[in-house]
Amino acid sequence: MASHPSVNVFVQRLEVGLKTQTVWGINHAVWFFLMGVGGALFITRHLLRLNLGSILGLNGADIISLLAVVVGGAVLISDLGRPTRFMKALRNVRTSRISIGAICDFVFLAAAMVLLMPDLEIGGSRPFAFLPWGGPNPSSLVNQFLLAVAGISAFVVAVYAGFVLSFSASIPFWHTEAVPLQFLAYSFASTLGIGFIALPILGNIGVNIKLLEFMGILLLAACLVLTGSHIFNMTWSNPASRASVRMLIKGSLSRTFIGGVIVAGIIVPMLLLSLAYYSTGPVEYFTLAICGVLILAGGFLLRHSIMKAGIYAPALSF
Amino acid sequence: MVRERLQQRVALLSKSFIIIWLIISFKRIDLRVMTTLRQYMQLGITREPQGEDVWVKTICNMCYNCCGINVHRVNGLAVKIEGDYGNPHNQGKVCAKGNAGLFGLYDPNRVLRPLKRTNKMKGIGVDPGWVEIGWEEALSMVARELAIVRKDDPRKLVFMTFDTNSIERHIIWCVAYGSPNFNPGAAQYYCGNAVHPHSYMTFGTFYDDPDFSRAKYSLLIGCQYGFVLGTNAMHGARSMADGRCNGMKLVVVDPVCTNAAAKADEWIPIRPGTDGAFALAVLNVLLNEKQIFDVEFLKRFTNGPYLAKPDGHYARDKATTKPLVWDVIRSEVRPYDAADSENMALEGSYRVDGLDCKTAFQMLKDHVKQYTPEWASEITTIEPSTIRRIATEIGAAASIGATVQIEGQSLPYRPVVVAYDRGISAHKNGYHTGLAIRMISIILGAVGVVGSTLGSNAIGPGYSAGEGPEGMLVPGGGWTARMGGPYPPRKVERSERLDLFELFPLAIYSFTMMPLVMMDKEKFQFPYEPEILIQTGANPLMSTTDPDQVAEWLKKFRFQISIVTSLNETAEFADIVLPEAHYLERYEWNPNMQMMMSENAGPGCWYWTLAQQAVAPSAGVRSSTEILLDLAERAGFIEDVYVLFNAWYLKGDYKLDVKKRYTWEEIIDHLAKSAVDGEHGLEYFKKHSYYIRKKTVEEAYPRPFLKGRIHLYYEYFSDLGEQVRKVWNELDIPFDTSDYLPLPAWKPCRSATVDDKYDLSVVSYKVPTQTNMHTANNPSLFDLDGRNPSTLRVLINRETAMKKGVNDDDLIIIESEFGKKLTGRASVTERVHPEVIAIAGGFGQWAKKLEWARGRGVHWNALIPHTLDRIDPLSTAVDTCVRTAVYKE
Amino acid sequence: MTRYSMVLDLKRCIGCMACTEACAVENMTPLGIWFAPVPKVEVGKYPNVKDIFVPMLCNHCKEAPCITACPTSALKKRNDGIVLVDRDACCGSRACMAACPYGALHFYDKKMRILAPFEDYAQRKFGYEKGTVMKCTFCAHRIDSGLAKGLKPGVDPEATPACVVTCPTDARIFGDLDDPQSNVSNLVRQFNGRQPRPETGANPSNYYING
Repeated sequence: MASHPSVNVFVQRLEVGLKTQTVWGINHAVWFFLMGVGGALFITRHLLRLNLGSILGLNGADIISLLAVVVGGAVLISDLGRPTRFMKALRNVRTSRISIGAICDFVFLAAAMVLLMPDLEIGGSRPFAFLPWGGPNPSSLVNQFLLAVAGISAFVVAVYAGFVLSFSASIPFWHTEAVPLQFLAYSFASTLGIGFIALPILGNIGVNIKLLEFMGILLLAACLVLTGSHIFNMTWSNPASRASVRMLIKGSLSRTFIGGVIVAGIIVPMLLLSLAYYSTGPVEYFTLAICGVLILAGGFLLRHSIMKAGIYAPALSF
Repeated sequence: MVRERLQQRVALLSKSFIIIWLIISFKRIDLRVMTTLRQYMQLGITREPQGEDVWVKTICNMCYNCCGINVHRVNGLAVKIEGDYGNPHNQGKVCAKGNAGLFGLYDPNRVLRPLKRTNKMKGIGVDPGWVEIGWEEALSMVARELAIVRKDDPRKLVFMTFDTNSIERHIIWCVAYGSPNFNPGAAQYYCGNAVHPHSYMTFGTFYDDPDFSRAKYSLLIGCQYGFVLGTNAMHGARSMADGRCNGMKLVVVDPVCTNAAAKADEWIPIRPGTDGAFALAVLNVLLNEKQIFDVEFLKRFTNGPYLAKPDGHYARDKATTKPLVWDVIRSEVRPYDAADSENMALEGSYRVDGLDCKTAFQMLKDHVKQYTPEWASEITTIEPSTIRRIATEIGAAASIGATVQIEGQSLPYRPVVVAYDRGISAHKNGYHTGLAIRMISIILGAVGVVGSTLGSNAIGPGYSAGEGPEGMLVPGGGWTARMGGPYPPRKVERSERLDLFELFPLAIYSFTMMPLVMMDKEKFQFPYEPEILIQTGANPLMSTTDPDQVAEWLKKFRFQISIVTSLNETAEFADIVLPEAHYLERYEWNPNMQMMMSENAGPGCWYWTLAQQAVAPSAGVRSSTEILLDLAERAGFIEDVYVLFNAWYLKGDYKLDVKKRYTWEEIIDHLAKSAVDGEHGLEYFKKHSYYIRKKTVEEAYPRPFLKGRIHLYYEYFSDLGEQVRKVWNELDIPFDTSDYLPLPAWKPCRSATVDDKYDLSVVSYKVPTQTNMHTANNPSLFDLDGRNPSTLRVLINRETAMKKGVNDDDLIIIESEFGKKLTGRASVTERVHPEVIAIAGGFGQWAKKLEWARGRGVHWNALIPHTLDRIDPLSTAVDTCVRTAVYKE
Repeated sequence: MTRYSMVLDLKRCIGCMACTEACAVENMTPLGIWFAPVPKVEVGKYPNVKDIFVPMLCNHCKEAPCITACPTSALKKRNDGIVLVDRDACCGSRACMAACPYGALHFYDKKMRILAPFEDYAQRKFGYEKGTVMKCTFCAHRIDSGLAKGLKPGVDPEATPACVVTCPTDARIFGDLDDPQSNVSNLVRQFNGRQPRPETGANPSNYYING
């Protein structure tokens, strides 16, 4: 048989039954992950005054945030069947979560860039310093407005990936608000992960380490609770979502999900952070960096495994 | 003088050739093929005018049902096939195969130029070293060989075809050449061997056509009649669906839960090859336990009342030697034709000339007493209660005594269909099983009447089955009669045909003997060595038995001519390949073979039809008929061909002048006008495609209007057995003739024995998306079947698989008790008998040029050994019962 | 209003795949794409087991999830209820494929091919483009040209979807669901037709009966 990865799962094997979705794959996981991290990092940086060093006069966190969103968008566009038509994807704002997300991507990028432009430093000079919302007095109205626009759109950017999945009534495992909530929690946890990684490099990221550790524990706990309740609910709802759960717990995704997401992505960093939080000794940058890497990896694997576990219910039951 | 000689010759040939007409069966091994697409684009398509957008009516040839189709042609390119709504057979419906026909036409691997072999070595997988040659060179080379052999001994030519569209023309050609060795190349190995003889004796026809839409109960034994498979595919499917939706109960007895079984109200799994035991037990329940039978029918229309002596022979009238019956009014014996049917005793024992003679019906009744449901249960694995229930249900559904009004006539109404087909035929006990199954319909009077199984053409346009010797049914005029059946008894004698046909007087073909004779001429004291093989529309390497053996006998031919569309496995043995037109590129008259479908389209009407070119033929290819006519001309026997056309088909003014030469289209014009009338020639059929004649009530439901009686008791079998034994003894070949019995009996075959090592029987089944061995290379159909979870894999029962540690999709080895090994993927399922593995037929090809089919699926036929002791001595079917061991790779 | 609909008779369907193949040729779909598949499902345990054949195709839902999911609004609903892809607008995001509960949308992947020699013909007639999504159109081209000739879809074969026309057992029945007297409305009423996966809220236009 001429089997092909892009053959619709419904015709790949002509059997009525549970069908594992193959539409969304690794590209989409990367996209979801980067958007989540990008959006959340921008917000975290401005809320916590996170400072990840300075590149070209800009805060490293802003740079990473922008880069993540740009790369995430690029990955999405490259995955399109017709990449040159990506602008058309902004058309269906009314109902399509992707359209809303894509517009917010652009709004975020535009607003954040404009907002940061005055700080841009090239070769020792700041060519855009003349802009009114730059300079020593950043609390101007324009500045506030741009910050609000960028912040709100960043939030949407961080969250819409979850809604893209939860919007799909055809896949019961996704069709729940637990999905965007999880994605959101993981996104913010991931921003702390970036902070933990940056710590040993920069030594100081402008935030109290104990606070960071405490927030990390809280966010990871939230992730665990959200994921756990999602899984628990889905176990009892219908055969398709039960199959999804089985796939995650016992099936082909169990190693990724249990080992990667739950143990390595949540439990281990939570334990390490707790130890660090309660220890009175010197800060163990290395341990925190490991936590950061684990959290980031867990965040990515969560999206990947949730996506891969999407299963359609059969059209008819007998 | 010449004319006279020719006529004599024709008479002689016709006589010896009656049989050839029997060649028909289900399978059509016609591998179509083609050249490169580039060539096609250059030569076929682009020369058509731009802006063309037409629909051409023609006939489908993806299987032998010949549905009417409408081909959409746009700028020379055929882009769609749709049903011809007016065609009475399919009424606008087309199956998957028919829809996919275009992909065969445009197969980039088609042969479009004649090829010559350069490698002297022949064998499976051996590269023939083809070189392209011109048409002129190819044809003159072939004609030369044909002329040489014809002068020497024309019998040395073997013609092998099952291209059902053209087979009647192929037969004429072969007969005109002078060879009796016409062979469908596969179809007859275990196809209709135990179907057609029984239809002859039951209906007086070659084939039967169940009246599902009016039936109340249908029992399909080992077949999928009415599921877009086999004969009458389309009107059968409609009729079956209508019947089921009108409340008919459908019961399917089959080792595999086929599509038919899936749609049945009840699937009864059975151990393969044991259907005879089941049928005999059903008979026993009906005749002895429940006493359900149609007395009036049995008296009037069967030899049930004929008296049989204790030695099995009829009690005969001394003066006339006519069989005697007991007249209950006069209380004395009378010749069967002197007594009123109503007054004949159906049951009981009567004293005739000091002997206790029983009626034939009583003989049957007493005979089947031994076959209790409990006994059958051991053999078939079907519960005794189920057998009793099915028998009782059928008996009740038969509504014995009921009548129905059709067009103002009151006709018997027996809404019960008991149908079987190739599945039963493919066993060593097939003949007796067939007799037993047919007997169920006969005792219920469910033969040729409303709601029952109808003969396809007992009374047809210009002919009627009638009364033969001893008052028994014989086929009527037309093709059916010319083909001949198992009754009246044929002469048994030494045979000089490769198939030893004269040694099998109850079979209607015996082509399975050809390989055996070819492999050991001395043993059979055969007088000549075959030299030339013409292969077209048949692929014996795929569709018969053990390919290694087939390769051996193919190699024995000095010169093989393959007239094919694609280079299939058998064509790879050819010395010369002549490219053949695809069915959408050729003309053929009435491809809906008279002998099989007999112009039959269900109880409604008869029809005649024309296949015509829907697209221009590519690169100068011609139909096999045209090529053969050309070769006959070149080899100097075209006049004999014309004479045969005149003798067999053409009437009055439409006879061919043997001195003139006609194109194939002109001959078709003559054929059409002879079959219908002067108004309806080629031009009419090109435009309208078909000509319909409504059936009369007699033609639709013929049994009440026929005189000949149906055999209930085959008195003449034992005499034939004696004669057969004599000839085999002369040949000094041990041959089992114990099957020549007057009543259906249980003959166990291989599957009934327990074997610990080879614990599973292997069976094949049909899928509605493929025809025999000639559609698997269609890319679209192949993709469809490739996505079917079971079609390309080996079905194995879940419990059995568990015991063997086989999981779904595992690679498994199927090892036969004869040492053959096949590899396939397991499809673990509930839909198969636990003692059985099932493989869909039509796959596992290996020819280089079959891009799609090559290497996909499992070639089930490869497991079947072909030896004298595995042939049903009555029907000559090869037994497909093979025990296998299955294990994981 | 017109709302074209198909009734699928699970009792009459015998799983012969004639519809699947007829559709593939009518719409010249690439190898591997079947708009009208007939998947089967094995139900029960030996020996009380059977296959059920389920003829499928796009349900042309009233609240089509594919339309709402499509970011480019490439999927549109006609007035007669038929959901079509605007090939020029489709960017190939496949969001519709994930959203459709019935697998009715197919991605024409770059590696797929339409069998020779039909590529150009298919391209001209249907405007297929690699990297976009394609789906069952209820044979809108047949309906439209049939209507133009004054034919009635669901009654006259020329104006009826190819799968319906070819079905040997008449298991597919086509008509107007908004017309209470139409063949489909009558069947849905008479046999208490059921929609596939009604819980998704898509309100599909096709109904299954006898199963």
